[in-house]
Parts: sequence; C-alpha cells; structure tokens
Amino acid sequence: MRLTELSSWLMTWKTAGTLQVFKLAFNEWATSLMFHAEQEDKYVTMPLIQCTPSADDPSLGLADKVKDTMITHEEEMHEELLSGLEDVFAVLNEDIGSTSVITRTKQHLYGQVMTLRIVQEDHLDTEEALVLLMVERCLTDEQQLLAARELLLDNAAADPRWVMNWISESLTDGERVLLANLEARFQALPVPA
Amino acid sequence: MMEDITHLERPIDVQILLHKAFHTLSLRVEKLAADSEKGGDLKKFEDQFGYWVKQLLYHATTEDNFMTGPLQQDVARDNESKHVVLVKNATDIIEFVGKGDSAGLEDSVKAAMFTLDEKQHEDLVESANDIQNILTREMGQDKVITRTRRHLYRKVMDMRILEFDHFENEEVFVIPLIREQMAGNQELELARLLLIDDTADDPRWVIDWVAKELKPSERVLLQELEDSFAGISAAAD
Repeated sequence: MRLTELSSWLMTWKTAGTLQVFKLAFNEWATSLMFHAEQEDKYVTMPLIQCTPSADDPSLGLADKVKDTMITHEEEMHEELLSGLEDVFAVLNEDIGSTSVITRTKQHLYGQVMTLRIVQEDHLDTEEALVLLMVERCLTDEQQLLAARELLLDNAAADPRWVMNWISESLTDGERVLLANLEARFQALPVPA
Repeated sequence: MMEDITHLERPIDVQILLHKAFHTLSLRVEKLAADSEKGGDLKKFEDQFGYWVKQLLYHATTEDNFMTGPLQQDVARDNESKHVVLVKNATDIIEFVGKGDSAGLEDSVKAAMFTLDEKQHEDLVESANDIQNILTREMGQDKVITRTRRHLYRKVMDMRILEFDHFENEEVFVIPLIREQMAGNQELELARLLLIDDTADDPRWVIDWVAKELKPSERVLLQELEDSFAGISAAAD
C-alpha cells in the first residue's frame, strides 16, 4: 500500500480491528523511507556538499547560491520526514494502542499522513529538479553507480534485495528491465564492506 | 461521516445539526483543494472556500455574542479564542491563494533560507523574486503549480481538522453549560440567532444552507425547531 492509498484508506476505515492493516502498511513505508534517507545523506548529499562551494563563496552567482542552499536543505527535509514518521508512530503505539480508535485520532492520523505525503513530494521534486543535476556534475560514473547500489541493496539486512523488490512492485515491465540492467552493472563495483 | 441525528432534546441541540452541515461543507472544500492538485483553475475551490468562511464567520460571531459571551467560565473564553485561530487559518489561506502559482515555492525557499547565516540570508532575501524565477525555470512551471496546490491542500486540511476538533470540544464542554445556565426562552432565541440572520437582506441564508446539507429526516427536525421560534415572540408579548 502506497502513501496516498494509506491516507485515503484512513479516511474511510470504520473498525478498530483494521488498524493493524494500516500499521503494517505504514511500517513498510516508514522502513523504506528511513533507509532511503539514511543512504542518500551518506552516498549522495555528503559527496555533493564536499564538491560544491559554500553558499557564501563570493565567486558564486545567485543561481548557484540558491541551488546550494536548496541542496543543503535536503538533509533538513529528511529530518522533517523522519520526525513526521515518529509522530505517527507515537500515535499508533502510545495514544491508541491496538484496540480502539476514536474519530479525533483518526482525523489526526490522516492529517499527519497527508502532511508526510506533501513533505515527501516536495522533497522528491526538489531532488529531481536540482540535486540530480548536481550529482551528474559532481560525482564520477563509478560514484553514481555506487550510490545507486547503496540506495537499492541493503547489505545489512537478512534479505539485501528488499528495497529492489519493494520498488519493483510499483514499476511497469519495461521499467523493471531498466532496474535489472542497472543491477547488472553493480557487478563491476568493488564488493561492499 | 457523522451519524444520523434522530432527535433534538433541547433548542441548543441545533448545534449538532449546524456542526453536521459544517462537516459536510468543509469536507467538500477539502476535496476541491485535493482535486486542484491535478490541475485546472481554482474558481470552484475559491467560491466554496469563500462560502465556508462566510458561514463560519457568522456562526463564530453569533456564538461569541450570544452563546459564550454571557458565560463567565474559562471554557467560554477558550471557545472564543479557537474562533480567532480558525479565522487566522482562513485568512492565511486567502493570502496564500492571492500570492498565485508560486506561493508553494515561496514556502520552500523560506524554509531553505532558515539554514543560512544572517548575512547570506539578507543577501538572498533581497533577491527573492529572482530566486523564485530561477527555481521556476529549473523546476518547470507545472511542478511549481503542483507544489502550490499541495500546500494549499495541506492548509485547508489543517483548517478542517481544527474545525472538527473545535466543534467536538464545544459539544463536550460548552453546550452542557448552556443547558445548565440558560433559560428556555433564551436558549430558543440563541438557536434562532444561529439560524436566522436578522441583519441580512435574506435572513434565511444560514438555515436554508443547513437544510440543504442535511438528510430529509434531519430537515424535519430543523423545521420543527423553526416552528417553535414562533413561541419566542409570543412569550415576549
């Protein structure tokens, strides 16, 4: 279940028992987002910050200053997303337990999930428009491939392919072929530590 | 979805009918805001949002003057202060829509600028319009509009949830006080004022709207309550 489905489902759910379905779906989404944010900070944002001049560099034009500021802000958006996830977990685990849910709590959960959806979409838009261009400029092909591998494969997990499998569920057949081709290129990289 | 209302025990229970009408209207406005993320103009949203705010302003003002105004308890003042917050939310949304398609981008740029030190911040603030133009060029006009519509939806949803919470608090904390402290005829007059705007060209603009938002069986309850208003002038005579 994706985030938009989660929020619309929240609006219509009627019985307390089905809260378990929401919890499971939310856990899946939160786990994916947390892994993505952590890996992105480490393998994309950090190398970019090292590569780009500081926003107070006098040689920078306004356009570059703005882009640098927005890229630096990416880390904060991750923090905002993670903090939003924690807020929802707090409601799920502390306020309502697993047996009963009052209407007000449902409304607040809905609000929190929709807010998360909006922060996530803002973040992804900024990333696609500004950050990816900087990645192409700053990172070598090998660094980009390494970042892609770390975003897709979780070597610390019992099933390292859980991210790949989760993403595949949302892709068309053609897109799955692209993903498989990318995965094949990981063979050329050094074995992860 | 609110449950069906099957009877009104006292005139002040008109609030349950009114709150149900507000629930329906505000959810409709929220859906229009959500739909606007897909594109199109905001005319229908703006019309319905304006109507929601008009109803809310009359309702809140009437409550402040004739329902909580005479009460001395802190809970009455809390109720009035929640009205101020709701109106502030509505004003913010009107200002946000007034800023046009790049209002959402402006929100994001402001948030990013908080990461800068004071000098950098001042430099960039001076170039705010240029910054928005640069980002619009980089991101594309469609994404800028979509972001603004997303933020609009978030603001409307926040206001709707605030309104729901407020009505719920009012039903739990304020309405029992009215039942305890208001005389029967005074309570009936309050119900009348909440539904009939004596100062308007069309005094029935509130009650007619409430009727439209209710189920036929609930409309009967509203009609019965309106019929009882005739007793107010009789008692006054």
